[in-house]
Amino acid sequence: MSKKTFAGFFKCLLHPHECQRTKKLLYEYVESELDQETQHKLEKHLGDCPACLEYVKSYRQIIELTHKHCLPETQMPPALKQKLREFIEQNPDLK
Amino acid sequence: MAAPISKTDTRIDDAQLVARLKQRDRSALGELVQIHGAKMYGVALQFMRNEHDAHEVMQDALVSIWNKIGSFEGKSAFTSWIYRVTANAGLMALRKRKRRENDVSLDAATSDDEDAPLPSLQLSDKAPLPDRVAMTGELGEQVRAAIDRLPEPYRVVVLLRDVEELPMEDVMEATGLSEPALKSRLHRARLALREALLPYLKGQDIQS
Repeated sequence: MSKKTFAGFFKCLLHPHECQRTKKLLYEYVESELDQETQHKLEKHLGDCPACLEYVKSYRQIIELTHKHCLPETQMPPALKQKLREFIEQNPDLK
Repeated sequence: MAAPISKTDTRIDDAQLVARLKQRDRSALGELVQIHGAKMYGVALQFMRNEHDAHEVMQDALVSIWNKIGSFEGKSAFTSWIYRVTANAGLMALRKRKRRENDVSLDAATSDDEDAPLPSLQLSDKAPLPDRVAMTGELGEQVRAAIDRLPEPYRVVVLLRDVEELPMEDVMEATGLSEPALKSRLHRARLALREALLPYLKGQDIQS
């Protein structure tokens, strides 16, 4: 553990309510919905608390990964393609 | 060998497709399936988790595209618009399925209370994982599996908001959730995914 991380760990022990507050405001922070003052305070805490910083980073990462890995381009089965062709040709709703 | 299709070519194709659809040229729908069908199918499969239901969603999406093309003004990319239409068709189909199964609603057994336990990610017997073709490695596989295992009400908001990136207003309209309820549900779904995927995040390049 680095000196800075070590110091941060003890700061967090002394101010657990700051960590709780960070978790409470996590959604608004990540979605940039906080007012400037609250955001500034929260970021100051993130500078002091490696655990909270890691928490925020991992939350952001989940959003990125969800978007990146869940936009599938899935090959359509040929039979389905054929059914859709027939649907387009024959469906009365498509006039 | 055929030249690779550039983004500009795709845009031109899309502009022509839109124009032809607006002129009620039904054959343009066939070409739309040819060009964008794979992605539409991927979106439909995400929602329905099986080929048969995904097929129905694609049919519904094609009818919606045909009926609503007049309202497409080109403010967003045509591809985003058709995927959004497909996602909405998926959501509607899920609702229908729920009604058939006599479930109360997509909100059943869902708590948006911040202090309630997080939704658990468990494999459901009646919800087999979708058959997928293109896999992008273990992490991608785990992310998709974790989303598939979210309880339906949570899975839906993640798909609409974080995967399809629909605006909050559109997701609220599609799901019928109030803004605070949607935010809370999305937040809880993300936390559940974070918890499930934490072991896979180690060593990944985290961007702050």
